[in-house]
Amino acid sequence: MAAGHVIVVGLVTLLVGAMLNAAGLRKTALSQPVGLRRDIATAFADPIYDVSHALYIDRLRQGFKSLLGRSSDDQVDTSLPSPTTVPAGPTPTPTTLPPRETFTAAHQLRLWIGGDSLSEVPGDRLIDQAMATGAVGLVGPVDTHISTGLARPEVFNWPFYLEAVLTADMPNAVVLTFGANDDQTLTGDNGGETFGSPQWETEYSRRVGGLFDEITSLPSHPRLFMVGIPPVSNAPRFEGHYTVINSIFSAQAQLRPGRVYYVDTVPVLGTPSGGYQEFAPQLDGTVVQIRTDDGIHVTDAGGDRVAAKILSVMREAFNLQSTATTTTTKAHQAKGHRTAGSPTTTTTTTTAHH
Amino acid sequence: MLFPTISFAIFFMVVLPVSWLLMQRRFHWQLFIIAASYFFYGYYDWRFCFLLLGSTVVNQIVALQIHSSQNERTRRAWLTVGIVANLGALSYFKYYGFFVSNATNLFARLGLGVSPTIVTAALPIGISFFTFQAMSYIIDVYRRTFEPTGFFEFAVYLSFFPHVVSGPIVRAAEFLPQLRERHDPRKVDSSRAFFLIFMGLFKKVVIANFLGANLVDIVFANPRQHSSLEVLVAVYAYAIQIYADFSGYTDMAIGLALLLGFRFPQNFDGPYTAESLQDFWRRWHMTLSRWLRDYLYIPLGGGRGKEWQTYRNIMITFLLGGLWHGASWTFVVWGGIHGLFLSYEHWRQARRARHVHHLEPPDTGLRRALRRFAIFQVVCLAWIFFRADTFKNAADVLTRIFDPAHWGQGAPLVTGGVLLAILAGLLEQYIPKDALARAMSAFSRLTPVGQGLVLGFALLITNSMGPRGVAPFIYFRF
Repeated sequence: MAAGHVIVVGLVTLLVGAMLNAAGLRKTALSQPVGLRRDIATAFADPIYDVSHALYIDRLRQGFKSLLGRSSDDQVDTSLPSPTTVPAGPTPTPTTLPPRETFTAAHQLRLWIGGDSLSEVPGDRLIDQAMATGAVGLVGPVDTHISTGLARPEVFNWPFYLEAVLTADMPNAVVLTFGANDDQTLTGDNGGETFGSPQWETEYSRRVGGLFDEITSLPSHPRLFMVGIPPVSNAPRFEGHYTVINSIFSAQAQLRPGRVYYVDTVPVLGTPSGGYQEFAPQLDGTVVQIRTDDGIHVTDAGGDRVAAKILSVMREAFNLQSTATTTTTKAHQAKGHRTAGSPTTTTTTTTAHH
Repeated sequence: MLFPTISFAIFFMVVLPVSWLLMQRRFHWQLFIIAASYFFYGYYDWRFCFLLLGSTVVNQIVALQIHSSQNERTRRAWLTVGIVANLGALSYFKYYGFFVSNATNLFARLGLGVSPTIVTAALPIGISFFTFQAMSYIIDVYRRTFEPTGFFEFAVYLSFFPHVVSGPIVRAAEFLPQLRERHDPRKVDSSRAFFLIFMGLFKKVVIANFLGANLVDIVFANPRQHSSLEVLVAVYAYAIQIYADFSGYTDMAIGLALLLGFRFPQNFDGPYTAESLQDFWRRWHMTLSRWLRDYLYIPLGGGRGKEWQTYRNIMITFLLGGLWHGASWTFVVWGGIHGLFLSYEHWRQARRARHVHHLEPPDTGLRRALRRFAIFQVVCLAWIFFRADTFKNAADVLTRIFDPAHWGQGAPLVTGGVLLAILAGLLEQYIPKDALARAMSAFSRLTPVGQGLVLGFALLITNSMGPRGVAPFIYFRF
C-alpha cells in the first residue's frame, strides 16, 4: 500500500475509533492536568462526544461496557460533599470520644484499605501485619486508583465511590492514602483555585472535611485512618506542597477526635530531620531499600514501616485482642472487592498482641 | 509517551507523513527523525535526553577511534574504554544502590560497620536497551564486521523511537544498511504493520492489563492470603501477562517501524510452544538471547571447550542476563534457574551423543505435548522469582502452592474472564502462520476506508475491554 493510503487508513481509524469511544475520550481529556493541554484535549473531545451522542454512535460502547459490567467507567461526577462537623465546639474530652471497641478472632474488625498508588505497597503490608493479629478481617484487596485524590473529581470521585463501596462493605476501619496528586488546580465544585493560594487551602480543607464526615457517618460508623504523604526525593515539592496537604489532613483529623486519625509517615520513612532517604537500616542494622527508584513510592521494607505505624495508631482506636493467626479466603465480588461472607478459616494459637 | 495512548497516536500521525515526505532527502530526514525520537524519549523526562546524547557521542568517538587505528593494542584499549563507559553508566543508574547496600551489609557482617549515605539517581527509561545496542555497534566495529557510520546515522540508530524504550534490540548491522536503502513510498507493508499494531494493542491492553489487575498483582502482593489454586493460577497468569505485555510492545514497535519503512527483527515466536529450554530461548526475547550469545557466551568460549567450561559459560551468561533485567538477587536466581536447566539439557544431549546406539523412542504428539508442558512448568517456576519483589515473597508463593492445607479453599479470583485471558494468551502462540497470512491478505484487499473502519471497531473493543488508563509496560523498568 502507498504511504498516502496508509495515512488515510490511520486518519479513518482515529476518526471511527474516536466516535465509537467518544465517552472514554471525553473522560481521558478531562483527566489531563489543568491547563492548556486539558483545554485543547477537551476542545477536541467535547464536540466528538456531542456528535457521537447525537447520532447514537456512543451507545455501542455503552452497551459493550454494560455487558462487561463496567457501565460506570465513563461517568463523570464532579460533586463533592461539604463538612457536617461544626469546628467551633468545646475541646473534646475522653468522655465525649467514641468508646474503644474490642475486636477478637471471634469478632473481627472489618478493615478496608485504599487510595492512590502510594496506598498499594503499605496497604499490602498492612494486610499481612493486621491479619497476623487474628483480630482483623479484610473486606477486600487494597483498592488502588492511581493518580487520584480530591483535587480532580472528574478523574476519580473518591467521595462518590467511597459512599457506595463502604456502604456495601460495612468496614469498622478505613485506611485511606492520597494527597500526593493534589498539589494542582482544583476542579469540580468550587473549583478553579490554583495551588498555593489561601482559597485553595480553604476549598481543599472543605473537601477533606466533607469526605471525613461522609465516611465516619456511614451506617457502620467506621474510624478513618488518613495516611500522610511521606518525604519524596523532590524536596521542594515535599516542603512546599506536601507539608501543606499533610497539615490540612492533620488539622481536619483533629477536628474529629476519635473518628479520624492522622497517620504521620515522616518519622518512619524520613531521616531524623524529616528529609528523604532511599536506604535505611533495619532494627538489626541491615541496610535495606525503603523507597523505589522513582523517589516517591515505597518498597516492601518501606511498606512494612508504614504498615506498622498504621497498626499502632489503629491500636489506639481499637482494642485488638489477638489470640490467633487467621487465614481467610472470602467471596469475591464482581467489582474486585472481597466480601466478609463465609470465610474459610484456619486457626492456630499464637502469642497475644495488644 | 506510551504507544497505546492518544498522545502517541497524534504524535505518530504527524511523524508518519513528514517522515515519508522527507525520506528522499536523507540528511533532512535524519534530523527530523532524531528530533522526533528525542521528543518521544524526552516526554518521559527531558533530562534523560542528555544521557542518550552523551551515549551517542561517546560511542561514536570510540567507534571512530577503533576504526582509525591499525594497532591492535590501541584498538583493544579503545574498545575497553567504550565498554567501561557503557557499563559504567548502566551500573551507576541501575546498580549503584544495589551494589552499595549489599557491600554495606557484607562489611557489617564482617564487623566493619560503614554507613554510607546512598542516593541513587532515577533510572532512565530504556537505558539497558540502548546501552546494549551501542555496545554491539562498537564491538562489531572492533571485530571489523562493520564500519563506523556517520554521526547522524548513528544517532538515528540509537534513538529511533519505535525501539528506544523497550527494544527489540536491533543490531547496527541490521538497521544501518536500511538507512541507505531507497524506501519506496508506494510499497509500505501496511497490512502486516496494522495487524501487528492491533495484535500488540490487544495483547497489552486487554490480556496483560486484565490479568495483572485482576489476579497477578493481588496474589503476589499477599500470597499467604490466597488459596493454593489462586496462587498457582496467578503464576500461570503472570507467564501470560509478561508474554502479552512484552510481545505486545514489540509487536507494536515492529508494526510502527514497518509503517515508517523499516524492518525490525522478530522478538517472539510462540515461546510457550517450546519443547526444550534451548528452544524457548530461540523464541523468547530473541534479540536479547542473540545478543547474549554473540557478545557474551561465544566470547567466553561458548561450547567449544571442555564440557564443564560450557556449563560455566552458560551459567555466567544467564546469571548476568538475569542481572540485566534488574538490580535484585531475585533476577539472578531467575537467570540461575534457566542456566541450570539449560546445562542439564546440554548434559543430556552430550550423554546421548556419546551413546550413539541409544534408540530414541518415537516422537509422538503426546510426547511433544508432555515436553511442552514440562518446559512451561520450568519457565513458570523461574517466573516466580522474576515477579517476586523479595525471596520471602517467592518463598510465600512456592510454599502456598505446595501446601496441601490450602488446596481445598475457594478461588474467587480465578474467574471465567481470567481463565479465558490465560487461554487466549496461550492459544495465540499456536495460531498457524498461514492462517495469519490469509487474514492479512484479506485485510489488504479492503479499501483504505474499509481498513480504517475495521481498525476503528478494533479500537472500540480494545479500549472498552481494557482497564482505564494504561499500565506501564513491564519491560520499561529494565
